[in-house]
Amino acid sequence: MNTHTRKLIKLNAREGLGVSIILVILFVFLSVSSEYFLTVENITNLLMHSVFVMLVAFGVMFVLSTGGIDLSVGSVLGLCGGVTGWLMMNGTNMWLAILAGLLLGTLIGAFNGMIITRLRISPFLATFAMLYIARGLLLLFTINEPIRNFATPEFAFLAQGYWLGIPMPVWIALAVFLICYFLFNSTSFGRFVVAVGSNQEAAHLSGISTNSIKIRVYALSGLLAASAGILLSSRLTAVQPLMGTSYELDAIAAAVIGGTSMFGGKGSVTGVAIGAIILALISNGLDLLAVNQFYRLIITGLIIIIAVGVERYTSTRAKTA
Amino acid sequence: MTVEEDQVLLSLSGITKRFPGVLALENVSLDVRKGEVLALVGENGAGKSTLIKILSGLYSKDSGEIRVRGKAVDINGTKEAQALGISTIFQEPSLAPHLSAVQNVYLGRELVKSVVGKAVRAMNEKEMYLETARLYQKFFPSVEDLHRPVGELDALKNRVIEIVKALSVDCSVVIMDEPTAALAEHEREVLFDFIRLLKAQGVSIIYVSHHLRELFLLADRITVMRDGKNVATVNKEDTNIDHLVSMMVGREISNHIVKEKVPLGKVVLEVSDLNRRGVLKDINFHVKQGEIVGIAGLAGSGRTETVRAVVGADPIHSGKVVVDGRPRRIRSPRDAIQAGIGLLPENRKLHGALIELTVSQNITVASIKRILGQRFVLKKRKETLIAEDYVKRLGIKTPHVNQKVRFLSGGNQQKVILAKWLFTQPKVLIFDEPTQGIDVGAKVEVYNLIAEFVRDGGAVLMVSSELPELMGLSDRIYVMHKGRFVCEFSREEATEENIMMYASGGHE
Ligand SMILES: Nc1ncnc2c1ncn2[C@@H]1O[C@H](COP(=O)(O)OP(=O)(O)OP(=O)(O)O)[C@@H](O)[C@H]1O
Ligand SMILES: [Mg+2]
Repeated sequence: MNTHTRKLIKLNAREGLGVSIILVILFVFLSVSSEYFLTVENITNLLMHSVFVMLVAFGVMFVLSTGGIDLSVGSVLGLCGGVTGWLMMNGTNMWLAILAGLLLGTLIGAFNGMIITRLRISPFLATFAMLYIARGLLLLFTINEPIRNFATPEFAFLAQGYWLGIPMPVWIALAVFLICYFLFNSTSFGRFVVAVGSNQEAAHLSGISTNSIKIRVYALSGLLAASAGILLSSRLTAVQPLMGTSYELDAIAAAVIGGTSMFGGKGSVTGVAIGAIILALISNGLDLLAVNQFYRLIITGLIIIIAVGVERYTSTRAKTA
Repeated sequence: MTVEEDQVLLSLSGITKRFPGVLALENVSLDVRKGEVLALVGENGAGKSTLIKILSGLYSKDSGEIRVRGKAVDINGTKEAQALGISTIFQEPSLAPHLSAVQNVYLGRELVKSVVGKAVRAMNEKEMYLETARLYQKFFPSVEDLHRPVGELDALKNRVIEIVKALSVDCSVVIMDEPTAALAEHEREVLFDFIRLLKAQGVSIIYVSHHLRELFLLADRITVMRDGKNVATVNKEDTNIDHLVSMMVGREISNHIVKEKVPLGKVVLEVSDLNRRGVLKDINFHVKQGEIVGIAGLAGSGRTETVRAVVGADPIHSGKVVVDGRPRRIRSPRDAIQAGIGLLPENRKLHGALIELTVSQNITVASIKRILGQRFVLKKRKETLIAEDYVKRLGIKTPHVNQKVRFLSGGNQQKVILAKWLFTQPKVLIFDEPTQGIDVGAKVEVYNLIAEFVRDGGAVLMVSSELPELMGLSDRIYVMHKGRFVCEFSREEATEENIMMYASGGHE
């Protein structure tokens, strides 16, 4: 038993080795090259920036693990943040408004799942269509007057407040991380998610209702996107119609950097968290080093390729070496 | 025994390969002579497939030397292997499911022809088709399937297409890793004839199989592997099955099926008027407590379709399933498991194994409730203990139960799937080709487990292409032909001849 667990730890440690190395290298490089990097203020700031993509990416990781994809999360984030803001602007109680936003995100996700499983439309197309629909709905909401001046002090506290010197969004992300970690690793739901992604037919023959697992996964993704949207609207205290655009790509990148397979059957909650922090680190570092906008994009792209490459290399080494 | 240097086509010396926690090959040396059939045997996980993958360029060896016609070579990738004249049929199906047979056979080396002068060239569809059809027709008379995506064809046809693919390459060595798994008797004969033909043309064949009997029809020499080492290479004339088995497992075992008589109880599973248009017609049968019932038939006769229909994996147009006297509506495998019926499916790679999951996760996935504590929390410690118990009982070769199933040898994957279904502890267990790819020692183990299951009051329905196995275990045998149950034999009445007669439609 003991030798077994030890071996297991060794193998798992190797699987996340690549991303951790990249994280450390970036960290050390930035500490050396910018005197502003390693300050409490900058690090909190950086963590705080990673939270929004991270929340979305947790959900996307579940979806990818079943072998699906969710392109609608960016728009869902915008729409649900917008709806919560709009409701509060029109006098709804803050908690009710938040609940409504979360519920809407969950329903949209479940709807995605239904379309995919019942109509057998590919996840790519179904969620791509939802990307447009949700964005369009948000534009309708903002057509007459912009959504702003809704943030009560309590609402603003969610994303701008501190507790024990640490920003609230970081606490929220930590809580969500723990819940997702538990869901993914310790419940039958998490087990079924990877089973469906590994071999859908075999999972079905093993008595798993693959359709219900898929619907739940998309619902979870919608719920988490909505929570990120509400948090972002609290942070910005206004909702622009384009809020959350292209978040789906950042979220997928964070998940894949963290070792999630785009073909299903493999995912990691810790990996996602590290992936999201790496993305925030890159953007923060480029800010500090005052890199020109064009180079920023190129460098970001290159670092993503390197990060994924290193992770793939170290984890295949772990298997065949 | 000395051999002329120029008779040796392929020579391996000191090949070693290590995976994390497993020494898969240790200092393996062997020669393959021109125009011989060299059989490779050994228990599950002995290292046969690993050796083959090294020869075909899929894995790189840690140390050792490979010589082709006396020249030391490095083989990186299947293309290089093919250029050296080595062509391989792998144990796990490796066809692209969305491509047709013709496209698969010529994948990556499509034939071309000039259209306008020399400059513009197009694929020579006609020639590729003709050549594929020529080889394919040696197995099946009808070529209408050649343009359909191979994913829509059954396991047997896929196998044949892989064989055709390997043979269509100009090669001096053909390696076959368990090519007859899931092939029926007469289809094997066709393959054997073909192998003899190749041999007569001077092609060497490396042949891996767990069917020791067929080796004596085919092989010139037999190499026995155990725990990653080659134990011995013997001429066919100098050995017999018992000798081979004792070398493989390193101890004496009996490979005879002993079926003990269990008193039969009430009817556990009763299926009546099962119909699926164009596939199954008026199927009626029952299985009693303590009984093992076999279904015999040729490939394509509807055996797999029948058992899939019973567990709700395929849609049916009519039919009634009664379990323990209670009519059950079964529309999905989930319903079947809840009703107490488990199906071990035929195709390991497509339907059985969750290769990205670990051994223990695979074993518990169909009965997750039994390791679920309060509030949906998995009891991982309990799961590990259960898995370790099955690993021990079935002799599954794996460094630990948290190994991903992807890294297990084919036969060991099959054992994991068996463990999964045994752990569901159903009332009725349906096995579709339960021992495919399993070594002789483990087969006896599996038979014992099946016997133990019925002794404890379970009922078993079994499909198998291996008549000796089917006849040795079953209390009763149904014979299928063209989607119908055409006949029923008791254990005493069943003979190979009368089963084959009904199975091939000779009674009509
Ligand atoms: N990619 C891999 N990573 C880790 N271990 C591996 C890998 N491939 C094979 N092994 C291990 O190496 C050993 C030899 O496996 P191999 O597939 O060669 O067995 P085999 O003789 O072909 O068995 P079978 O009769 O079951 O097909 C096994 O213990 C297997 O678990
Ligand atoms: Mg093998």
